Amino acid sequence: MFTIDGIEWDYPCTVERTAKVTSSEISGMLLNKQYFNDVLGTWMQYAVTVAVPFGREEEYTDLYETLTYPKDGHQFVLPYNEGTIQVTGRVSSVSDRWVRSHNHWRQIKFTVTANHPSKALTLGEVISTGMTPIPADMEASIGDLYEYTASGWVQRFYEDAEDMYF
Amino acid sequence: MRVVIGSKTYSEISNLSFSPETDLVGAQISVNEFWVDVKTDDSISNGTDITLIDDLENANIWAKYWIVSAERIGESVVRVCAQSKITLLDRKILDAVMYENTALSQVLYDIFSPFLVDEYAVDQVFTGKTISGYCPEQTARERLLWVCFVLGGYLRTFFSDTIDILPLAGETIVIPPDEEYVVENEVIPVPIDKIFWRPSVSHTDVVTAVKVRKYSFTQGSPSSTDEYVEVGATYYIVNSQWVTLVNPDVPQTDPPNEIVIDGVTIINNDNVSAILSHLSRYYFNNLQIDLDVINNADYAPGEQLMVYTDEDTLMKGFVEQCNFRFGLQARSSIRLAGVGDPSDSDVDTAKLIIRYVYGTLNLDQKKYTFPVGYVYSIENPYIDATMNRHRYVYRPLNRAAEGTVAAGTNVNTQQYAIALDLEQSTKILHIISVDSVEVQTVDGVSIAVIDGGVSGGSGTSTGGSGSSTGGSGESAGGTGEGEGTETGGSGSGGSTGDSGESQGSGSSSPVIGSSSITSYPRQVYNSETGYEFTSEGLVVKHTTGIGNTVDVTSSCTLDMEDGDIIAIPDGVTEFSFPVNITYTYDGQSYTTSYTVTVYA
Repeated sequence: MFTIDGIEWDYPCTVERTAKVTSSEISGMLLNKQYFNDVLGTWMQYAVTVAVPFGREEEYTDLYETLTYPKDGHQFVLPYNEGTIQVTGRVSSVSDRWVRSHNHWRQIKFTVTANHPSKALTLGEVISTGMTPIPADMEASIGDLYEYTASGWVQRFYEDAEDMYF
Repeated sequence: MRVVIGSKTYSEISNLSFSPETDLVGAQISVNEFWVDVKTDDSISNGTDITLIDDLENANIWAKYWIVSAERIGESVVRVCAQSKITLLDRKILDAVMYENTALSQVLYDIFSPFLVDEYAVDQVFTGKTISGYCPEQTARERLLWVCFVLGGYLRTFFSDTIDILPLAGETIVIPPDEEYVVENEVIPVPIDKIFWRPSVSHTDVVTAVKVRKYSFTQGSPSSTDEYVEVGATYYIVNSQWVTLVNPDVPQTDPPNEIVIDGVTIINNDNVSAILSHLSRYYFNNLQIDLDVINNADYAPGEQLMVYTDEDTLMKGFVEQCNFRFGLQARSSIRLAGVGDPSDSDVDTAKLIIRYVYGTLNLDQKKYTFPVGYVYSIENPYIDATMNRHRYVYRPLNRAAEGTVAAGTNVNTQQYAIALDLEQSTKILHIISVDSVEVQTVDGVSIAVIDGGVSGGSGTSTGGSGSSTGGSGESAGGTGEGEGTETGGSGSGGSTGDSGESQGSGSSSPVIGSSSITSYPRQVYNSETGYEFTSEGLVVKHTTGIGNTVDVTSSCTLDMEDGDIIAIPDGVTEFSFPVNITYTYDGQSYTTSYTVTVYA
């Protein structure tokens, strides 16, 4: 099951997903022989093959026309891990086949590439090297805990930390 | 990267092209520009301010220009060209003037007013500087070029929201009558891990001499043979003199290739020496380096960089241009000019090795090459490492490694402590060191542990006073051995064969072979009592005289018990505790006592 622009298409289908971890063209080998990989993010790509049951030719046609409409992007909801993912994606190809014996088109298959990365680090996250030092104004004492989060160090005093972690 | 046009921010941009440059020898003032495609349906008009900023939290300014063209190239895309407002100075013609110790601030005000009077800034080293000499009628941009040239300064029209007049690195600034000093903001070292494979070094023509004409002016009525200038109705007789600085590294038999500066009539006796010095630093060093670096606005035209041209060779030169390419980060192709031979004595370098250690355990090290006398402050990183099959994050005890580079090889050792045990609790940092705490006593014995505890295998152990009596065979005594890089301690316990006599002190049981501690007890956190040692993690192996190994872990005991509070007094450097090992060999039960000492 998937949705396109808010319309649900509940048919048997097979879904192949490809996560493309994409680096920018400024990546390259450094003088110390380490590779500098300038990762822009991870883009999802889906290939969906739909089996629309016989007798629902109108719906099949609607789906085909929706997918082939020349639009820069559609809103898709597609399977992802145990749930779903919502992506704005561009349809790069739509294919199906004519079955003469039934006089119908069948096995519509389309490929969607997300326009935006589903995972990406910010510049600030990338150019900071690992964990930053603990701020000087966070005075350490036995029993206190520090948690390193995306926004930096968070101090939890002993009394609070005990409830949270022990 | 983003652009701000007027008060609106546009983050959907593409095809950004930005190649700022700076002239270092007074030949021209570059009008820097950038091109960018902006995805928008808005109407963008010429003459609007546009600011290029990065995506960091503090939104650093890369350029604040104004739009000179905006062309819609697609349904929702506008191609924008923006230029530095320096170009506005071409629209202003300044009258001829005779400066006579005129304050620099006044000269610059005349140049920048009225359009840009609030949009320039002058480095404080130029405070008190004056200009003397004649300037003909010229555009404001050309006069600014002259002024920068005699100041030993350059214009920066990027990485700032103002047009900045900055001193060239290492430049001698002369402020008459008797002040003189060298600009301090000199060479910026570029780490090897920011330089792409591989810089190229090329030669330019050798310059045999620089030749500058200096001027003085006397008010009066010129004769028919006098050279003179006229300002309003006032005449000034021109006296001039050529001053030449010969390249000492070029044989006099070489065909001359001189750089000649003529007609800049604000070069005078006060500034000619500094100008010659500046020109010679540029032209007499006839190498240039082209290299690519990771450059998130860290390096800019006009600055003097020290770069690696291979893994060992350092060279320094002035950045003339940075041609940026953008991914998530930015990479720039840089051309360094005025580069001297690396064998020149002016690049006297030394090695700096920073060792990151936890106790005696080497975690990592980094090597740098810096100029001798360089005052460094290199932030200590957190180190994620697996030791004894246990993954830890080590935290530095000091924020940064600091010092001054001396000749030869410098070693700076930075101490670390365990910050995070990733096997125990992801992303939770246990505080294991504080500056001052009370020393606790357990059963009348003071317990103390040095910073960092014993987990991860730092410190050394000494096999203690184990001894034995009776039994047969030989004993090699207790020999403490640590894993990893720990230094094994040596024990004095032991017995001598059949006589059954014992050496050392301790319990009266025989020792056959040797015992060693192969893993140390781990410091763990108890929410009720604080930090504790437990027998968990302690592994003692006993090797018999005939080569058998008996695992006696299960039967070892610690004189400390779970729940004991381990305090960490400031300045404590070692901590000892007894270990009693009881084991069975050949049907007999034996006990051996050790004292385990853990050092900082």
